[in-house]
Parts: sequence; C-alpha cells; structure tokens
Amino acid sequence: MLMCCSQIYAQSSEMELSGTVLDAEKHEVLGGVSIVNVTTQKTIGLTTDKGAFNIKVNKGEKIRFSYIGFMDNIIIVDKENVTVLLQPSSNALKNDVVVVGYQTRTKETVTGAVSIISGKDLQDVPVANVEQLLQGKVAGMNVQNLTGAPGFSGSVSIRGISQLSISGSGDQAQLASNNPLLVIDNVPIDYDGGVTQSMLQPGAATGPLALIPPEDIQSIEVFKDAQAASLYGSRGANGVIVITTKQGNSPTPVINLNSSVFVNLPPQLRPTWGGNLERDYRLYSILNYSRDEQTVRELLDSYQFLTDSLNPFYNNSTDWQSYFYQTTVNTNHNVQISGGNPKLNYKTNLAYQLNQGVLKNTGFEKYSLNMQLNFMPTEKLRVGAQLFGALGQKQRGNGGGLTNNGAGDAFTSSLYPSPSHFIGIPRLEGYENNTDDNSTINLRAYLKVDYEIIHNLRLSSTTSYDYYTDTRDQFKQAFTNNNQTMMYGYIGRRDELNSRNGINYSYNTDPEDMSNGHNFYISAYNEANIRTNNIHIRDVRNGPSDFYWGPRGYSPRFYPGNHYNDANGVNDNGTHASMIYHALSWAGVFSYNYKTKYVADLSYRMDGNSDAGVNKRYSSNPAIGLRWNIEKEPWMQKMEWLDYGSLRATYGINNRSTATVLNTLGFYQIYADYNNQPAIGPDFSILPNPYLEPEKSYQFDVGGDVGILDGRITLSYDTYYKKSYNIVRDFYLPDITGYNKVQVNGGSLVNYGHELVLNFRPFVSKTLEGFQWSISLNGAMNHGILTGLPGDLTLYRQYDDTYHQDFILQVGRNPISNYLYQFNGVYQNTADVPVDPVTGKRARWQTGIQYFQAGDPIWKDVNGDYVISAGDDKFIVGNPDPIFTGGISNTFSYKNFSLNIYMSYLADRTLLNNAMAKRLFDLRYPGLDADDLMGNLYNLGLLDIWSVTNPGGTYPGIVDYYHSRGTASYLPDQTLFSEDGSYFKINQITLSYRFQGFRFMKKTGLHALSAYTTLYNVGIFSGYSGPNPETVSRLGRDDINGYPAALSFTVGLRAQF
Amino acid sequence: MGFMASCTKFLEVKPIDKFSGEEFWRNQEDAEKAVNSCYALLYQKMNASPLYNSPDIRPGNWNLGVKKNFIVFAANDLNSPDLNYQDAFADPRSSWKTFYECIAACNLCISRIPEVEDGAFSQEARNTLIAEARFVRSFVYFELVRLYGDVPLHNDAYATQNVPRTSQVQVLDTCIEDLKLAAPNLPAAYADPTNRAVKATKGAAYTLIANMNMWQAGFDKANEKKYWENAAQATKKVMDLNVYKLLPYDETISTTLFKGRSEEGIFEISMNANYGNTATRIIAQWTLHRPILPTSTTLYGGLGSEIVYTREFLDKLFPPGQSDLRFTLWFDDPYCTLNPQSAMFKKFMPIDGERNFDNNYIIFRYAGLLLLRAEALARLGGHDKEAIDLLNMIRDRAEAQTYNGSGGPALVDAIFLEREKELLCEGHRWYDLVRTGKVLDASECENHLTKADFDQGAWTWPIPASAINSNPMITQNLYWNK
Repeated sequence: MLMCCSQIYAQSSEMELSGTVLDAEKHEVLGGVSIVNVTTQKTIGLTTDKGAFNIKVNKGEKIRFSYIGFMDNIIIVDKENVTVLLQPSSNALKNDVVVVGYQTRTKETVTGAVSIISGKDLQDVPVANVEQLLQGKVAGMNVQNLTGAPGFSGSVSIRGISQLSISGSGDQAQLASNNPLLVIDNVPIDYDGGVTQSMLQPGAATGPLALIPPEDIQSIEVFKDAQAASLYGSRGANGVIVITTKQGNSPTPVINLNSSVFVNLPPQLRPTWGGNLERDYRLYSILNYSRDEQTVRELLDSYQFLTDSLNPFYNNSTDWQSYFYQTTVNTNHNVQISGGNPKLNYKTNLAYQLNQGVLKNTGFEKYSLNMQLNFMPTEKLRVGAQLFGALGQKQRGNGGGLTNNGAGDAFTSSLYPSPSHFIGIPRLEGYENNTDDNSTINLRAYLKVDYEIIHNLRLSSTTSYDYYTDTRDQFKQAFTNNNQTMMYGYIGRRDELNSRNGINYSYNTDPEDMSNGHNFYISAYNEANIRTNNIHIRDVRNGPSDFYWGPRGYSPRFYPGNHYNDANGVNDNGTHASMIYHALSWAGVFSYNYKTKYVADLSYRMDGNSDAGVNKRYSSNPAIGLRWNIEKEPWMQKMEWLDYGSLRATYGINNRSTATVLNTLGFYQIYADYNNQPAIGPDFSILPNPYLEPEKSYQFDVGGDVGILDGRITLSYDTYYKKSYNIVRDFYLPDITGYNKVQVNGGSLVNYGHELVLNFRPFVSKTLEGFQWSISLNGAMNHGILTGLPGDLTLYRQYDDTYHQDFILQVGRNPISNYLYQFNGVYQNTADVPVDPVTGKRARWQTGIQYFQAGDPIWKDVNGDYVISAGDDKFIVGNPDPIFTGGISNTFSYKNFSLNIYMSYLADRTLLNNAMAKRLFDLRYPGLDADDLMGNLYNLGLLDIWSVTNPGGTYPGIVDYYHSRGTASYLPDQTLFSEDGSYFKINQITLSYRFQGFRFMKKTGLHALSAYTTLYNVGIFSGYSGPNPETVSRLGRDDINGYPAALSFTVGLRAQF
Repeated sequence: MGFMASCTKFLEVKPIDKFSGEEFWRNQEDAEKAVNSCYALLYQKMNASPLYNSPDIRPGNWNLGVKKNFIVFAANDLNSPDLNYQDAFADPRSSWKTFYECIAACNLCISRIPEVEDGAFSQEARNTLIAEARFVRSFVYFELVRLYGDVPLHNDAYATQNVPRTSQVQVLDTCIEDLKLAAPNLPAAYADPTNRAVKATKGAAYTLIANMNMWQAGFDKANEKKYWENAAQATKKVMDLNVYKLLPYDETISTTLFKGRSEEGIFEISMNANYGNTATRIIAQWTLHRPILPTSTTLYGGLGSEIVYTREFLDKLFPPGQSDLRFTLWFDDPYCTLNPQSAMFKKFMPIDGERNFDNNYIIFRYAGLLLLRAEALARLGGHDKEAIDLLNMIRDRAEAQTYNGSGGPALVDAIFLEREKELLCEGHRWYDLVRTGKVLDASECENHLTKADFDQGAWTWPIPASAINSNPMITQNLYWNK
C-alpha cells in the first residue's frame, strides 16, 4: 500500500540529500513532514513550509517521510535531490501521531478513544474563542456556543454531564463545571482559567482557548475514555483536550501571514409588535376587559402613552432593538516566523484580533505572542522552551457571562419616545456610556529537558509556569443606576507552577521495524503542582460625580457596599476568595505490543493534594487498555479491500478528591467578643464530614476502526458505559443541628452511549486538477441516568424562585429534569371545564378567584381536587442535556478552488422559552406600569391564540387580562413553553482560491498565496419558537437577556514568504 | 522515610481565606475562645428580640398605646401579621436556629476539648471549660422549653438525623443531669471580677437547676413534690456558697445592681458599652422618655412613654399608702398625672441620648433565688418559718411591710406577688404565671388563658415554620395549628 517514487539502491557513504515533499493528489507542497532515518531510528528533520528539506544521510539508508493524514513514504537514499510524493492516507491510524500522557505514539498503538482535529480544520474563520470551532468536530464532545458575546465561552462536555450541583435560579441557573482538562504544549491548564476567574458568572472567563490564535494550532487531540485520560489523573476525569502548537522547521526563515477583515451582522431579533399594533392591543384589553369603569379610568389616566396618541411626544413606534444592535467591521491578523532544523528551530507567532460585538459597547480585542525554541545540542540532549504571552480585553457592555442585560433591557415598550438630544434613556445611555472592561493577561512559559542516559533510557523534566491577571473595571453613571454611581473593581491574580520529572525506557526486539517483534515501553514520573489565587474586590456606590471614578469622596451612606464578599471574605457564591493549592502525583505506565498487532497498556496514577482531608490524601487512577489490529493477522491479508481493522477495549477508574480541609474539618469564624473576650466558634454554613470519600467514576469503552477501499471509506465506532458515583452533594440539615448543610457522598449517575465517525470520498479524481469531494460525518448518542442520591433519597427538588421552574433530580430519570404544570390545550367551551361536585364551582388555579372558562389552559389536575396548585399538580418532564450531537463536513475541490461546508446538529433536548413566556405573562397587566412591566409586546400574530373569534386557538386567551391574571394562563412553569430544542446548524462555509504560477508572486517572493471568504454562523434550522435554540443557558432556559449569535462574513488572504 | 515525610509536608497547606478546623483546637486558648463563642451565640440570640429577655408584656396589664405588635402580643395573637419585624417581635416565630447553633457550639466544645493535644492544658481547666459549655447548653434548652414547650434534644456534635420533639420535662431532666455533672467543675466565683455573674459558676448551675425543677413541677404535677424538694436543695447549695448577697436599695441601684456584675448577680448576659456592645432589645426603651431618653418619641412632645403599666396593676403590686422602695425608686409619676403616658419605669437606664442600654441582661439574681427557695419551701410545707424569713429578707430590703401572715397557700401567693414586684420587667412574670397556672386567672393576668387553650399550648410560641420545613418530624403546637 505504500507508494514509493524513488527506490534506487546504492552504496553507503555520507551525503547531503535535498528535495521537496508534495501531496501526491493535489501537488501542493507539504511543510512540517517529519523525516526519520529508519536505519538509525533517529528523527533527522522536518520539511519547510515550502516542502523543502536538506538532510545529511548515508547512501543506502532508509529514510521515512511521514505526515498527519498521509501515508508514510520510505525511500532508500541514492541520489542527492528527490521529489517525494505522499499519498493522502487511507489509513489514518498508522500515521497519526498522538501524545498520550506526555508520550508520543502512533495512533495504531493507542488503545483509548481518541479524536484528532488537525489545525488545518481551524483556519479561515476568525472566531473569538477556539472553542467555537470545536463544535461538532468530535463525536461525543458536546460544545454549545451559549452566547454570541465575543470572548466569552460556552459549555463543553465530553460524554454527558458528570456533575449534579446547580447554582443560581431562573435563567441564571448554572450547572457545576463539567469541563475537561486542557493541556497546551504539555502544560496542564484549567479549561476556563479557573473557577474564580469567571468572576462569579459562568462563561465570563477569558480562558486559555480564547487567547490562543487558531492559526498557531498544529493539532488538537481529545481523549474521551478513562484509559486515555487516566494519565492526567484526577483533573482528567471529564476528559482531556491536548493542543499542540506549530514548530519551526525550515532552514531559511519562513514568514506566514494570515490577514482578514470580517463583518459581524446582527442576527434575527425577537419578534415584537410596535406602534399602533401595541397601542391598539393594550387599549382594547383595558377598555373591554377591565371589571369596572373606575379601573378603566385609572388605567387610562396613568398611561398617557396609550391614550394621547395625537401628542407627537407619545406617538412613537420605536424599535428599541435597533438602538442596541450594530454591524461591526473587524480585523484579524496573524504572523508566524519560523525556521531552523532538527538541531535548532524556532517559531514566533504574533496575533491580533479585533472582534466587536453586535451589541453596542461589547467586544473583544486580543493580542498574543507565542515563541518557541527547540535545541538539540547532542543526540542525547534535547531542550525545548516556550514563552506565550497574551492580552485579552473584553468590553462587557451592561452584561454578564452568558447573558447580556442590555439586550433584555431593549425590550421596552415601543410607545416610549426614541432617544434624542432632549431625551435621555437611562438603559440605552448606560449601554453607550457605562464602562465594564474585563482584561486578562496570560503569561505561560515552559522549559523541557530530555536526556538519554543510555540507549533508549531517557530522563525528562518539564517545568511550566502559567500566570493570569484578570481585572474588571466597571463604572456606572448615576443616571443609569438609580441615581447612584457604581464603581466595581476586581483584580484576580492566579498562577500555577507545574513540574514533571520522569524516566522512560523503550525496548524493541527489532528496532528497525516495530511491526516485527516485541516492543516495550515503561515510564514513571511524578508531577508537583502549586496553584495560588488572590482576589481583591472594591465596590463603591454613590460617588459624588458621574465624571470621575471613586473611591474619592464616596458617600458613606451606602458603605460598606461590597455584597460580593461577606464578613469572612467569601464570595457570595461560595467560592474561595483566595487560595493556595498544592498537588503531588505519581504515575507509572507499562506499554507492550507484539508486532504492533496486539497492544496492551497498563497505567496507574496517584494524586494527592492539599485540599484533601487529612485522612484521604491520595486517590488512585488505574487503567488498562487492549488493542488488536486485525488486518495484521495473516488470515486477513487476502481481503485486499480492507485497509485496516482494529478492535479496542479499555477500562479505567478515576478518583477525584473532593474532601477538603474545610468540608472535612469544618471552619471557624470570629464572633462578637463576649464580655470583651475573643470568641471563635464554628461557621454554621457547613457541618464537617470527616468521612467524605473522593468522587469516583469508572468507564468501559469498546471500539473499533475500519478503513476500506483505499481510504474511500473509514469508520470508527465507540461504545461506552461510564458510571460516576460517590458524587458529593449538599445535604441540607434540620435546623436543630445548628448547621445549614453537610457535604456527603451518594450521588451517582450513569452515562452510556455510542459514537460513530464516518469519512468517505464519493469523488476521487485521478488527476491533480480534478473534482474531489470528501465527507466527514460524526454523531454521538449519550444517555444519562441518575442512579442515586445521598441518604437513599429518590427525588430532590431544587426550588427556583424566579419562574418557579424547579429542577428535579429523580433517580431512574435523566439526571436533571424540569418540574412543570402539564399543558393539555385550551378549553374550547366553558362547559368543558370540570366542575367540583362539592362546591359546584368550576376548576381554578391555586388561590385565584377566577374559575377556568373557555380560552383558559387545560392543566392536568393530578390529585383531582379541581384546584391546580404548585404543590401537587406538577410533573417531572424534560431533559436539558441533548441525546444526539454531531457534525458534518463537506469538502469540495476543483482546480485551485476549494469549498468547505461545515454543519453541526443537536437533537432531543428540552428548552424552556422563557423569553416568550415572560413577555406573554406580563400581559396580565396591560398597562405600562411598574419597572419590570414596561416590556414591549410579543408579536401575537405569530401565535394561534384563542379568542372568541378564534375558538380553535392552541394558545390560551390573553386579551381578557383581568381573568388571565386570576388564572395565570401564561405562567412560565408549564409545558406550554417547554419545547424541543433540536437544531441543524450551518456553522461555516468557506470558499478559497489558491494563486499559482502568477508572475507577481515570484517578483514579490511569495511562495504561496490564497484568498478565502468565509460565512460563519450561517443559519440555524429548528422547530423552536425562539430565534436561536443554541444561545440558551446550559440548563436549557432561553433568557430574554441572552446575547444572540452573530453571522459573520470574512474576506482574507493567506501568504507565505 | 524523610522523602515521604517531605511529600506529606508539601501537601499541608493552610487555607489563606478561611480558618479551618485543622488549625483550631490546638491549645487551651482555642478552647477558651470556642467556649466564648457559646456565650457569644447566646448573647446574639438573646439580643435579637426583646421577647427573649423581657417577655413581660405578654401577660398584659399594660397601657400599650398605639403599638400594634405589643397589643397583639399581649392578646396572645402570635400568628397575627401585626406581630412583625418591627422591634424584632416576630423573631421567636420565625426561627429558633441561633439557639440550636449555640447548642451545636456547646456540643462541639464538649466533644473536642478532651481531644485537644496540648500538654499545658490541664485536666482541671478542660473540665471547667466543658462544664461552662454544659451550663450554656442547658440554659439554652431552658429558654427553648419556656418559649416553645417540647423541643428536640440534640446533644451530639456530629449527628445529622432528624429528631422529633422531646417532652419538656424530659428535656429538663436531661439538662439537670448535665448540670449536675457540670457544677462540681465550675468555680464558685471567678478571681477576675470582670467575669462575675457573666460566666457560668456553681451558683449559676444550681440556680438553673432550681428554676428548671420549679418549671417541671408545674407540668409534671404527679411528681411536683420531688421537684420542690430538688429546688429547695439546689437553692440551699447556692446560699451555702456564701458568694452572693443582697445589695441595699438606694438611688444608685440602676448603676450597681441593674448595671450588672454585682455581688447579687448570679447569671447575666454581659453587655457593656466599653466593650462595644449595647442592648437595644430591652423593655426600658419603651418605658422611658425625656429627659432620661432625649430621643424618645414625640408622644406628648416627648414627655410620654410608649408603654406604661396600668394603674390597677400598680395598685395591686404596690397598694397606695404602703411604703416600698421599689415603687419609689423605679417609678416616676407612676399614676400619669402629667399626661396619660407620663409614667416612667426607670429600673434600666440608657447610657446616652440613644436607646442604647448597657445593662447586662439580668437572668438570675440572688433575690430571685431566695424567693424561689421560699416558694419551694412554702409549697413543700413544714418550712413556713424559713420561707417567711426569706420573703421578709426581700421585703425588708425594700423597706416594705414585713409579712406576718400565715403559711400555706396565702404564703405561696405572697411569695408569688413578691416575685412579681421584685423581678418586675426582668423576664420572669410570664413564666411564673405559666408554671404556677396563675395564667388562667383573670385577676392575676390580663392575657389569661382558658384551661383548654393552656393544655393545647396557648402559653407557647408557634414552632417556627423554618424548623418544621427543615425537619418533617417537628409538629406544631396544637393551639397554633388552628
């Protein structure tokens, strides 16, 4: 199957070999191809970005060229100049290189479930956060871009949720982090830059993925199963994402440029009725459905906006959303300078991006510099060093992490006059003038030294340091903030020192060809980790002026105003304000394969940390993996259509220590002195639990890979069963204990599912210029089931005080569900309403005095008492976690054009359309009263609403406001607003053209030049009634304040000098 | 070995933003601070509502003016929305958690102090601190029982299970056993006079035992004799300590005896402006006006108290024409001659122009103890002479007429009346009415209850809803279930 172009035998003597490596199909040069001397088993070089190489070899030696996505080509050195063609791989397994537990190996000997994304798939679209580009690219990794706010992050989970803690309520309710561990160039990094960095709002953090430029990424590997992740220890419990950045590899310096201009366009906005439609509706509702004339008069007198339509001041139809949204033009630039040879190479990547949001006063600007130097003074010693620095500046407007308050505040009645020279609108003005800047500075450095003591026995040491400074400066003018200025300053400094030292030994009975003998690899290492976090917050209210920021001269009246910290310096969401953390790990790996046919991996890692209780310092993570490459069996050789076939099985246990000094030993607070003597007593927020066990999970994974018909079709399948148990839950205590809660083990849940990746090429042209089409398709199905709660509970109801949409954790169901009234349609006739035989009255809602009539919702009356009440008539329904996720990529190429269409999908997920519910529910007050009821009017024309003239309507009647106030027809906690959030999304369309053979290119020294245009966030197709089923909270609530995802249009150039 | 030790050391990091249990309980000083936290929590709760230290409005017999929350309280309408957060009157109805926090802190001290690894921490010092925790815990239960009737017993520092309410007699039995364990280890008096009466002592423990027994006698009538005997024994032990004496009544009484920490004080909650704590939850803030309380309300131009005792009640306590220093020293214009609210009750004085009082909350004092002993002896019978002597000790001090009536029920009644007088507004009258059953008697108590209501718990507070919600085994008092 290997295609060798130059195979000429010759005598052995040292010589220089130079040449070019080309893609055999497209005839493009291939840079970064690794060159290995098979005879001496040494890496001797890499091709430049022009595809060139120049190496010293002996005649007659075997030289292997290999590159991700291409088949190896081994040549035997004969002449001095060769052109090497690499055939696109039909066997990605053999050649893809994977870094598992800091060890590089070919994919065909990897036993775990690993997905690889090439850096090439992440180009040509200038997103604010690389995370956005990972959506739909890995089967089983569910990435949701919950917000369109540039620089914010969405949610990512691998193989379902593994946490059960929900904090906050209503649209702001958030699930505890399920984030995987991130490893960038061998440095383990918290995915979101640490919990505290999020500044108390999930998604707000400018995490490492928002700072790294996609152009600098060589490859991303995602480890999904327990075996692959086990070597990363407890931190890898939710999976691991390993990112490798590019390296220098050209004897002459190469400059790569990628510049683009992109336009962000406002997306589809929320449907609204304005002007006369709004006025008429409200007036009609007041005039016809008030219960007495006095109410009508009072309402009309209060709302001149409604009645005085001839007054030009009130005669408006203001489209508020248009004042908040904007179209922005932005740029993205990336320069990479690299060069060197295997002995000494360097890379510098400089990136800049300006990404202004479609909501005013929001945006993200980032700068980064990544420098890398690799040095190999002798054959035995290798030294690598890297320095990465980045600055991310985010304007948050009026907003938070996943939501942006201003967007919701745009929902003011259209009858209000639009902003002008004479009329200031606090909400809008706040939007334009208030400051909320969030900047993150990240510095990361590592030094790696690797020394071969004796043949194949290596010592290695890696030390890395990662430092963040996060600041948030917020200033609100008094006019926009209830006549009270507000200044909020946040400074967080976080650093992590990580040191890994190890020894490894490999032994091959046939060093020339691994596929012909026994191969052993054994490694042991230890890792030490020190993390610190320091947070300082200043919060000053009621400054003397809108024109300078406090704290000078602030009014003491509202001091101390810092509600973010309580007396003990604890943030009000319970995270540590500041902390020091030490961790120490010991790991061992044994790996064996026979002829690369039978592979076995055994690994063990022990993790200890300073947070762990005194009794359980260490937790262990053992794992085993097996692999059988079937196509290497002699009896398979006859099946020529089969490129490869393999079976894999892994099992691993992951322990995550959750016991902390605080939850096992309790903590103490200072009380008011008694009799002038100091008093220190227990803090009653948590009862210590000295018996707390680590959270554990075990996972089985069975999978297989098949490639057939020379790479026409490849297929990879995995099925898994993952049980997380001992999950720590807050257990609320009776108040006679004195304490609020205790943390106990006992939550458990199971995730099982299937993942399939299918690649096929319907058109493979024989000629270089011909039409090529390849399709890559992946899909994952994940079922989560809650299998236990602490204290043998079978049900836990988490009360929600915003919309009464309680969360339910019920054993036997999907881990998190909603608790809602069941909406069964609308009463067509009053006669259809059941009548209580005891009282003779029709059914009603709770304490309401309005009895149901025609046009009211039919809610299921579970206990049959003719009263629909929250206590006993709600149902456990819905699942905010999707069952199916995946993506589809199509690549077409013809001559110098190539077109990529990238799509992703999600199916079977429940959303609650709170944005619609809130606006409809507010109509029970048709006037424009009280602060929170100044909303504008939903486009009622979109809904089939019951009315006397439309008795078949499927939505309850609304215009009779007095009645529907009494029956609460549109209360948000009913299944009327519970919808399926399945969607199909076109993420990206890229068309690119490669300039070739133009004269100006030679003149200007251009080696390569491409132009491309990209549409990103092209469209989303869904049956969901809101504008976008993706920009909702992690728990499936569509917040009216959500930041919409913007369509962006990019034009760019890629050049190489 | 050294290597492993250094690894373990590497993992020992002190949290920098919290004070964890790892760094606590290291030495005697920690234990002392922890015991202080028990007192501090007790102080916190007792200062959270005036109804804890002076429920003396509940029996009525006041002219309460326009104060709605007082009026419904004195009408025993404790579920009324008028009984609200104004003046913190709804506190006993809304939560009892701080009481149980205090119990939990005591539980923790009792279980942790023996384990403190500190050679310099003597067994004697440990025993004393543990005994103090036992005393505070028992006192909290006594408060809970008198407020709510049956309450859950929770004496294990780490138990998390729900427990139902235990009968009040049994709760107090447990507490008395506890106090008997504690008393021998408590000092008779503290060397440091600043600790006088504000920390647990032998005298305080025995006084609490005596009060508990007298309470039990009211609810466990079958064994009332036993309780009276126990009370008599306990009070004897206090007298035998020879620590306490009656202070003479004169003009300075408000700054000596009622300021607190006097030789008459047995147990008080420390309150001192110099220590930065003052009481605003004290009945006197409503019984005073200008010039003593310059910030008093504009009632009659600042010359009227918000609440004043009714003339009938005053006449019953202090019949006109009979001399009594308590009447002359404590009352200013008692009969409201200047305006309908011009009377002032001056037992407790503020320290400044604000309504800040730095009087200790006087819980038990020697005069009360002597009268309690007199009552126990009078009820037991056969000790009338001693009972009358004790009664006359109190009366003599107040320069009131000597009691020379008979023994038996007349003597019991006289002692009861004397307690009313002597302990006026010190938080005893309602509880004395309840335990003696006189709360059923309209002539003794304006807010009198019927026997049926009393048996259903009309004398209690409603169990806080938060307690019922957090523990399904807690049942509401029958009367308040209506």
